[in-house]
Amino acid sequence: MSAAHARLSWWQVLLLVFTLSLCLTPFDLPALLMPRLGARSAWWGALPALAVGMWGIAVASALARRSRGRTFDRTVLAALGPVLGYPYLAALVALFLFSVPGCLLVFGPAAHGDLLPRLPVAFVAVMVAAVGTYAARLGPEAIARCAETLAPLLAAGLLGIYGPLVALHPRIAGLLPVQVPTWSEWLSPQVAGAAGTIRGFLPLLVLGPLMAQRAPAGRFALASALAWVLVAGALVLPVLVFDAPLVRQFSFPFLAAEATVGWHWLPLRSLVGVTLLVWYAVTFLVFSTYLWMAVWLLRRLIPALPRRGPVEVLGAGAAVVASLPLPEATFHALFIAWNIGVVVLGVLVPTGILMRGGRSVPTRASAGEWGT
Amino acid sequence: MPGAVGERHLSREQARALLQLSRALSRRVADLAGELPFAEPPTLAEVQAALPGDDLRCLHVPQPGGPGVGLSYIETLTDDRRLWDEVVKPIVSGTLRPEALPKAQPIPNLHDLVHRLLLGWVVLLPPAGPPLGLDLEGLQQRAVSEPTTERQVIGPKEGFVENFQTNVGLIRNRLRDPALRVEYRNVGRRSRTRVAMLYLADVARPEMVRRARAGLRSIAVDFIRTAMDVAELTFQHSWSVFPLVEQTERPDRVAHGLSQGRLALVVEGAPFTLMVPVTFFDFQHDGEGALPGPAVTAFVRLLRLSGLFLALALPGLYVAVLGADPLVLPVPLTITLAAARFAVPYPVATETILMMGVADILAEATAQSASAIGNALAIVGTLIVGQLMVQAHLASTLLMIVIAASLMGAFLTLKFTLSYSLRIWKYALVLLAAVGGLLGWFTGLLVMLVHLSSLESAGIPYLAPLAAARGPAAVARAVVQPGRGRARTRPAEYRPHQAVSARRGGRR
Repeated sequence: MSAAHARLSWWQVLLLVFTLSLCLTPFDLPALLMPRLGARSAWWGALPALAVGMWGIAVASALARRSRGRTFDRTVLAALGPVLGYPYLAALVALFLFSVPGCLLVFGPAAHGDLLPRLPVAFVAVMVAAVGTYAARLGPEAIARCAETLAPLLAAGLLGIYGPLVALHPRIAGLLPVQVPTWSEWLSPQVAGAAGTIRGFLPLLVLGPLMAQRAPAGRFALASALAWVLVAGALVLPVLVFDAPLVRQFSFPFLAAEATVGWHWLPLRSLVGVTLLVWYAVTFLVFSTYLWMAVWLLRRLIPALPRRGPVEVLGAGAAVVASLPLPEATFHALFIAWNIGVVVLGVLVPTGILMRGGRSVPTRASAGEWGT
Repeated sequence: MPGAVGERHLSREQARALLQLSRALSRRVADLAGELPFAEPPTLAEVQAALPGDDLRCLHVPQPGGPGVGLSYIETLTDDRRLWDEVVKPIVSGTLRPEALPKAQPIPNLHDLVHRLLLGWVVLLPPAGPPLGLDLEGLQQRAVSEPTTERQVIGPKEGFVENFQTNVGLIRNRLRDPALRVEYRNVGRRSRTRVAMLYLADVARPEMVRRARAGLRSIAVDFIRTAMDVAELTFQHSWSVFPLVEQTERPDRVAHGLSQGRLALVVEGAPFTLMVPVTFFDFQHDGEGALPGPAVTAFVRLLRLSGLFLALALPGLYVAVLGADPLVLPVPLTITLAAARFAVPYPVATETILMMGVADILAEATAQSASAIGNALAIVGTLIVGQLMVQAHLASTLLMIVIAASLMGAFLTLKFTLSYSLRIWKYALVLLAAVGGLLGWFTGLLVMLVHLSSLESAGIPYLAPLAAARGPAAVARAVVQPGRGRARTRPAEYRPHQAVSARRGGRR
């Protein structure tokens, strides 16, 4: 892909971020840390996380606007200096590299559950890693085009399947080869949680400068914030209304929905299966974007890195790591650490960068700098 | 000793390389000599030496009161009757001098002279002055007729033919715009095939036009066999099975494409015209001009997209659900489906691949046969082979339905080249579904999506308007075409130089 075409439109970036946000989970941090305080408290704890996320979006957008035309690493180094800047960039690379197998660790067990028990976790990891690595190898433009193509198709598919089932449930249930959930089941926090798993702000930070090369930051920030608030609202509101006691089990909303409803309720499986494929698509997008960003940033830090090889090696390594057996407690600990890392590296440090160096004079950067 | 130059001895390889170099230089010098302007009028003997062949006619035509005129032409390419009536008779009778012949063009050098002879021209060698060329091409051509691969119930019935000028004329006739540019170029070192590049100067993206020119210039092959040769050498620098250039038989489609900012290549001897850029969704939009209103158009597009899904994904989904993950479906449905193939002795993946192979062989045989035989083959295939395989328990009735739906879907996409691509990917999806069930099937779809995302046609994303969209309205245009009165802008996916197509009360 030529450098001239390695630019993303604001629409592309918005969709990328929107899709990436589906899998990032700042809500899970309070949910994991505060189960002792009761279900309602856990959800109230999610509201500060929402505020932190909004702050992250605002910071990323402001950074992108003020450092237009300048690559991310140069913005960081200009603001923090080499002594603080390089460790921060290295930590960010580590977080990305941690996140790459993390995507597989979250998705693999779900696919291996009761729904598709034939598939070993390692096999799922290899499949996702293979397609994600292929996309990462092709670069951000290809990933963005995948996101853009998938987003309306998935939205239309989900609306086309779930919408009529919910709206016309009694009338059309008999026409389909599946039994649809009842109203109360549809509105249970587990299903609402599964449908509304949208969070995250770290991608905004890294994709911000990418966007800044061709799109107005304000428009981007507004659209991102709106999308974030809408889906986060869809996630929080049913819980506030229904006050479900099962929320304390809420570690991964999709798994929780399956555990409480799907596994013991066979007709839901076909719908859950469709949702699982949607989740697969999102995981692949997140995986490929993290992988590409990790390699891109590594190349900026280590210019001697070979052009070919790192993406493939890291992709294969992620599949191997995700295939290793991991105790539940270790997984939760890693997950909490990842959440903390996201908040520190994705919100706090960028806030500092914005305060210290965001007002520096922008410089022109070639579009090719963001190519692979 | 293999060879020696002065005191130095050359190895055999060096001597051979030196010999090849000297031959290449000699050829280049000869070529350059042919491109030099004539110092004095060439003789018939020189023409004969430049283009030796038994079908080259070199005659001396007497002229009353003069030394006569040399005349040279290739008899297999030239219209004899016109030659006699328009050239020989007037010169012999003394009513017309060669210099006064209408449409006669002076030929500057020997290279050009040979080229015109090969185009079917007649070359006159007057006693003084430069040679004169006269276009009297007389090769028999097929008449304009209905397209064979892009028939439509409602709409124009004329299609391109093998005649280069007729094809360019058919497009010009539908697009009488002074901004329409036609650029001729010869490609193929030996075939010297004429290619015409057509575009609207104020609408087409200049970058695309420049790239197309450069692509045509870069063609370095001896022979151009079909339009696809030009397409691959100019635009399709990819191993992808998906066509990055559209081939069409219909002048109305080309004219419409040009008006939207696309670029067309008419290739001599090819009844198909090439168009770029093309997107994946363009292949579903054929023949829409005659449909009444956006609602009908949207309905047809959805039908075609459904056909595309059936062609590509249905056999794989069948294998994934029935062979690997039957519990995804409700139990009663699973039992019904399993009962339908109870007597089939091998796994569902084997059964599917076997039947897909048989169906594709039949489809290919039908496509490559004459229409009468093709129809008979289709009947034999669908009725007899399918029925016999079901009766012999080599395939289930359910699979026959799946295969039939998949084939119908493939032909609903209208374009041959794309249907081949879909059929190839279909096998990959079935194999992945056999290995990984639903996830394997979906992995295959994602790989295909990533691959499609990486493709570009003349600099435009192949998945436009979904990819690189300029807002939700552009995305919606993949399915919903704005009404005729509302289409004020050209499709953004082609990135036209002039985005606004027309305004009320006047042309822009």
